[in-house]
Amino acid sequence: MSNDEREAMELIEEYLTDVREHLPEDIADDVVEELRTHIIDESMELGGLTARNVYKVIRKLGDPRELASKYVVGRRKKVLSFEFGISEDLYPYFVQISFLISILLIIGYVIRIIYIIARYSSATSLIYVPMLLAELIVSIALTILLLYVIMSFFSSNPDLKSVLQKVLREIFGEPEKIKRKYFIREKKKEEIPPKKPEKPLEIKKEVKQREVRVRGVSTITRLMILIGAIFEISLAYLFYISTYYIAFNWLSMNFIMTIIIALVLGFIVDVSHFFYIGYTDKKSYLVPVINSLVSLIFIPWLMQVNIFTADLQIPSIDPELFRREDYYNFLKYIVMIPIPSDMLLLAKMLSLLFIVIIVVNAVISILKYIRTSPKRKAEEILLSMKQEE
Amino acid sequence: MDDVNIENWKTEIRRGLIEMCILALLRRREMYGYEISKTLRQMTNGALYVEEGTLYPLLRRLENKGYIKGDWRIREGKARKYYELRPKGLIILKAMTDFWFKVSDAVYKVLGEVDNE
Repeated sequence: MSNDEREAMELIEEYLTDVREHLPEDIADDVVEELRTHIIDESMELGGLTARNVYKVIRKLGDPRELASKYVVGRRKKVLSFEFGISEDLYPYFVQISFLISILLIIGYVIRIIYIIARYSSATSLIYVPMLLAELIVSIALTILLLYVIMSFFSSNPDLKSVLQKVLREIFGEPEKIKRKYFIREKKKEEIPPKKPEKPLEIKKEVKQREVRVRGVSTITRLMILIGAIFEISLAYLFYISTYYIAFNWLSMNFIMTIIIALVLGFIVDVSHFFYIGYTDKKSYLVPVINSLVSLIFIPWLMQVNIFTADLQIPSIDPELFRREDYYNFLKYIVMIPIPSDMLLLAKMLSLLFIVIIVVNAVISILKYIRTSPKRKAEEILLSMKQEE
Repeated sequence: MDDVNIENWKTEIRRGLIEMCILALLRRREMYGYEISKTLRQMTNGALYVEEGTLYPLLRRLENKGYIKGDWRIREGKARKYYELRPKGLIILKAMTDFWFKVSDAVYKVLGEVDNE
């Protein structure tokens, strides 16, 4: 297999993996296989299996997410759906709006900081300025998160998406094409003068098709899962060790215990997933659900934070210890200081926000799993067949 | 009617016709997705051309409704999903074509009268 053909195959796999991610589990294999034969067939007709031809076919098939959404359009027609991720058409606007909001917030906060420095003594302003900077970062992050959620919602519903697209086009004009992976790859290809298309033998095509079918989840994906698991257990160990060196109060200790449990559970899930992929050669759709359920264990602690906010501690560096240059144990530098009273309200709001995010995420992932599970699908088909008859 | 509206109108008309034409093509013989797309384009000189990104989900919907049936078959050394018309699809096709001939006659009549005025 030549480099060009290998690149073409990789491009097909990348595209089909993206499509698969948004397809219901029960139809994913069949749909992906049919699309694969189509891409290979049409590329061959265009002059051979090259990245350039494959790219042309993929462009015609369109955005993976939109293509996948057409397969479930009948089921989703009546209910508004939600899925995290912004579609390719809206993404440039998301970047543009995020940038504008960030600039506006920065300008606003700079004015506030200048006002505080001018009005108060230097000692007071020294306390306020870092707090305002922290507030600025939180504001930008929350605004972008909110924008991301809103645009994901619009991206998940094609009708709403086209309305938003029209409005944004009126305001911002045509967006500059965002160079996503497919486009970057194509651009690179265009720089190289096109080779004379060679038409491989039928047998050669067959071999290629078989090779592609055998390939399921890539080794890199499996490896990433394993690295993630190792990272989680290492982090859990670090948190455990920290309890010996850092003076945590009861609330912080509860957080440490919660995070250790979450990381260990995450480690177990990832290792199980690693072996699952090894045996079945496909990703499990249940993992996101389990992960979102694991995150629910943070809720009791977040509720404690919301009620006993004054007991919240913030990690800080002890300058005295730092000056002694004791590099033996960096955990020794960390001291826990009580939360400033000015930040109590912000902490209360953030704890509530996190509770909402965790619960919503869990509900969405469960609903998504139920909707795509084969049993559910079989019941839906039986029901629709009965209704039609 | 502006450009956007005329495009919407064309899409609406085309959508229903493409379904009918796919069923009609499969009545003659079984075909695979790309073959359906090419045949439709050639026979209608591109007037009823359907993008593959729309065709494959449409075939899936027709299959779910029980109008057509798709099966993986190896022909000429290639594995492809071939679609065939099912009895339920044949009944629908008959109803569609009956309606289409009735409506198209009526539309021609109306358009003819408008042209004569």
